[in-house]
Amino acid sequence: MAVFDQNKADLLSDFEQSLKELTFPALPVIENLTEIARENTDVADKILQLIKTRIAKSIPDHKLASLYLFDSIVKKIGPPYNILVGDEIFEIYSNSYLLVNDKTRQRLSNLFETWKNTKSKGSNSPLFPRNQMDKIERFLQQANKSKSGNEGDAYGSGSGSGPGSGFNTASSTAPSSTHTTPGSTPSLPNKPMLMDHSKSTLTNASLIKDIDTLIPFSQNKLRNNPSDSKLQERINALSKLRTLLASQNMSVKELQTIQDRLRNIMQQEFGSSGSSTPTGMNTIPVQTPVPVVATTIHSSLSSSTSPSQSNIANEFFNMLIASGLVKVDQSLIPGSHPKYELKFPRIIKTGSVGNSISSASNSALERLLYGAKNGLTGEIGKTSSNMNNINNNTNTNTNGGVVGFETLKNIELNKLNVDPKNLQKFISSNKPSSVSISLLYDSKPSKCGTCGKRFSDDENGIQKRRLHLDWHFRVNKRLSSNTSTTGGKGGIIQSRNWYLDGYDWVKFKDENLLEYSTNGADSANAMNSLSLSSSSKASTPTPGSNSNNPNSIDGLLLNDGRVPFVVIPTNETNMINKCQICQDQINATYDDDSGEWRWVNCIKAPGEGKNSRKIFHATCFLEANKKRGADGDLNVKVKREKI
Amino acid sequence: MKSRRQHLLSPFISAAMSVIPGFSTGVSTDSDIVVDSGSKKFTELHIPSQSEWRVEIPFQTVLKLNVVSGIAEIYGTELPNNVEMTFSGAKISIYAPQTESNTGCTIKYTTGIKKSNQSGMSSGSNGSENEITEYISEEESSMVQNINLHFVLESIRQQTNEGPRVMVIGNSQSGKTSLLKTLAAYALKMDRSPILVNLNPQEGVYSLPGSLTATPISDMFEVESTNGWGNTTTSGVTFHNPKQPIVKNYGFEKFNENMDLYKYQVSKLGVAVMSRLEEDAEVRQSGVLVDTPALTIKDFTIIENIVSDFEINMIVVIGNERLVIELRKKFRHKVNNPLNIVKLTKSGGVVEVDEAFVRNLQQQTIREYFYGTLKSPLSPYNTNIDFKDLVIYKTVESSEFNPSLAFLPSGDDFTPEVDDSDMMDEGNGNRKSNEFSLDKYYSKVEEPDASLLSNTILAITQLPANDKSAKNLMNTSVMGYAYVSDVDDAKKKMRILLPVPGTLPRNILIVTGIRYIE
Repeated sequence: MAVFDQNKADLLSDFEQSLKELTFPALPVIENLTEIARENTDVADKILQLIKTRIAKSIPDHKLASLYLFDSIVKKIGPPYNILVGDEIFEIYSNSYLLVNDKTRQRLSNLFETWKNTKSKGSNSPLFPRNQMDKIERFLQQANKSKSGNEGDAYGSGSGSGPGSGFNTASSTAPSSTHTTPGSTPSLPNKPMLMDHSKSTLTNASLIKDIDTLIPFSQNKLRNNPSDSKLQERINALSKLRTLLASQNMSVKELQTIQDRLRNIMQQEFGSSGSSTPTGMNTIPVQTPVPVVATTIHSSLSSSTSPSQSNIANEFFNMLIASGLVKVDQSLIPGSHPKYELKFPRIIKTGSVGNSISSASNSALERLLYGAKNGLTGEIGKTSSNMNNINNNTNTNTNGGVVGFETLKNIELNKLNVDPKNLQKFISSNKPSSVSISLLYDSKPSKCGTCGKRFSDDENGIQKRRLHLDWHFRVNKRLSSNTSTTGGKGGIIQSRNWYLDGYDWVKFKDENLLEYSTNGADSANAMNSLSLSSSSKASTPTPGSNSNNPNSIDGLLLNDGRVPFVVIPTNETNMINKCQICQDQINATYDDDSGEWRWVNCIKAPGEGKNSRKIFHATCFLEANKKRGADGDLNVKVKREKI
Repeated sequence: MKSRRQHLLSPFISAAMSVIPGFSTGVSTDSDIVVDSGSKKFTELHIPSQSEWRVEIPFQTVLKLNVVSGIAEIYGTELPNNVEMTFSGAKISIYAPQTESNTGCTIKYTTGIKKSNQSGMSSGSNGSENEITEYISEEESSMVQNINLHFVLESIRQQTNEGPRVMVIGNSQSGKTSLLKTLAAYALKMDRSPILVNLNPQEGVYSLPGSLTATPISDMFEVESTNGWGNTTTSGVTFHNPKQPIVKNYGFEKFNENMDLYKYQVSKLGVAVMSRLEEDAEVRQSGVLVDTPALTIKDFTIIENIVSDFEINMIVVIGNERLVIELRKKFRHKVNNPLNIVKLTKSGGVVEVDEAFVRNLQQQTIREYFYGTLKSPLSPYNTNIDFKDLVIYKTVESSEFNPSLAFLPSGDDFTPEVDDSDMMDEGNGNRKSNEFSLDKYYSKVEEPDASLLSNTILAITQLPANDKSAKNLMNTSVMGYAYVSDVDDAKKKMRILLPVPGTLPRNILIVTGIRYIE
């Protein structure tokens, strides 16, 4: 047993080496490794162990590649691999899922979709054990919910029947239909598209899944609150949408748009349930009864939905049509079946105040979607090409189950429903709800103990708060050191600056005055020491550099406008490093222009050798230096790696 | 925290602070400060939700205040909890906003008398003059309509890419400035930074009285500073983030002392603000808030000018129904180019401010420009300069100007020249007919003397040395202000106080009608 064939040992160490090089899903490498795995099923357990280790230990950005390899092996080879790993699949999957970014998460959930429909090679049993798959399913639902701003307990209350039924419907309708006619839905991949980075892997099915998570939640809410007719309407509308999705092929773009709307409905749903006030429930005021457009709709839809559904649902569907979101294509021949298509406006009109908020032609639904869009962007007029960007924004805003302040604000503002035609009435008679007033206060829950400034709990707010507190600390230190050295009274401290002239003022950006600027006059000295020693071609300070330096919030620029970085030595094997000051992990990034791997926003510790791994965040270093600078001038020579 | 602040006493500001025993620990007491032994104890006060605590603090009195619990704000700017704040020479209103719990807020305060031989302002310190006046509002606060107005503005910001450009009109002391402060502070809480434009030369906003300014409000107001504005940028660090205004010289404290100059400078400020909006997406999306002097329907041409200069799309009229109706009539033609005119009721908390209080506030504003605030003290610089190095203009008062021209209908008599070539020949009088004439605005001072200059505030222009163009003089903005503390007619010299150490960076100055006594 312990005697181990030398060939196999070599093979395994080669395999391990190849795994390490698998940083992105390279098709030939994965195919090659899959072949090796196929030919060496006798050491399947060892190979799996290597892959599992690689998945667990590699940096998040590299995990996807190993997971795809894993996927390729279990699908193409099947037993014994999928059997061996069966009981751990949830653990492997969820651990990875938690660590990767949102883009990769989307890929992972697509990967999971494919697992559900794949049979174990050469048999009719599922690829992975049912209980593990169910666990993942629930896990993903929970993750999606918390991503859309759920506050945790909402899932708990809905979990009684919700996720289970959600899973059942998802697996029974959408995927099975695609399973039986695989050719008709090429958008649902049977295996992950290994080389495909650019194209979104959004599918009808995944959207249906989204709806399926939303419906049980709403149903549950309705059970607690049976008198709420609007909830009922929404549930019906959602199921209509679901039917539509299940029966039509959509382009990726359309799907993405729908997805965005759905996310925001979710956000509203869960967001409002988080606030305890009962008024918060009325998220969609349905005001204008929309005339029924086509009576034939009912006939075509009743085939797929239960006949007991009231005509409120039809009304909602008609609203979809009336608002132009669903296009009806019906030939003029009597009795022909109408065709439905989802349409979303590419650009939402950026009208003046006069007509943009709620002109009479807007249906309640459009306003809802409109609001949802605003919730994402904070401004309107973005084209759908920006959708990806917007998506990212939401994701960062909502990380960790916190609804971003922007989102919250925009939802609230939409609810206020200010009539631009009659501002006077609103100003004189509106009774602001406690929810809207809390926008000014509790929506930004952390209040600075020194100056009373408020910060939100979203990522942006946390970041700003950190910079704000740092800034207070720095200023206090500076102010107190000033007075103590000059003996308090009579010491020359500082004086007012001249005002800017018209031209400079027009060009001036106020962010240079704020604590979020890492490059104000305050840090000018430290910056100089950084940049002067940075290169032989010493950067000459631009005129007016005290006020006009570019800056960024999360990084910091040298005076010549470049981001500091440390080039990773070519012989370095561990790409992950940490800042010696804040101990945060620093990941490597690849610079296309120079072909180097770099630790960006970092500088090397002073006096360290070329291959030293001791690095600091430039900001941390600056901060530390500043603090020391307050105690006495310490001129640290900083060496910055040059290309 | 407390001890740090005690260290900050600047030579002057220290006078404004009294040390309350038991409040500061182990800090050397400044000799200028005499403790009022009568008021050692803190008074605790509960302000019910949606009520205001209105308090008037005389200039000789210091009020120290702590927010013990709940949320308290002054004109929209939230106060930190459990931090001691100091007020003097101010009329403030502390509002307890409506919150989920609706419990209002609790504050504690104490007062002291500052006794200072430096202060130079009101001399008497007999009893009641130095008492604070304070009460809690009983009627419903007007804050609800302010909040509603804020949400209107914010939804406009949300719906369009351009923030609203709002102008507030109302009688003198109707609460225009307080409203704008509140709106700006709320906008700030929405992560906006609107430009606050002050067209009321009586008050210096981030500048001195006699100026017209525009300032992006990118951070909180400093409620403890004079009038609750705060600092502009300094050579070092300030306790709060500073603001960066653009300053135009007008030179008088009433807008009608030289209407032509006023309108000219308003329009130039408008150009600067509109250009800034174009450059700066953040302020563009936040909008403009314009404060005005007390304008009535008689001043319609000025209102009309401001509306077009700042592309105003909303006029808020405070407490004057009639003005609303008349403005709506007059602006009927703007129906296609939406101009909303809304009215607000006047807050019951607005207090009549007497002339003396206004004077004192102006003096305090000027002092703050040179010496800074309690939390961020500054050191100005004294220097002597020769008249011969200077080109000095003074602002012309309308009454001094040829009366036959003054009778032209205001608004029609002035068209800014597009022609940039300035043909004016100094002292020659040989002018082209379409040439720009300085006569209505400034006159050159050939023989400066003590009677003209003593104790005045000089506006230092941004013009490079010996720029003789009248047009440029009109279009320049203010680089800073100097205070003339002493004039020696015999030696043709004067002693000036500069905010920035060093020599006078520019030699073209404008004598303003603003005076200051140190």
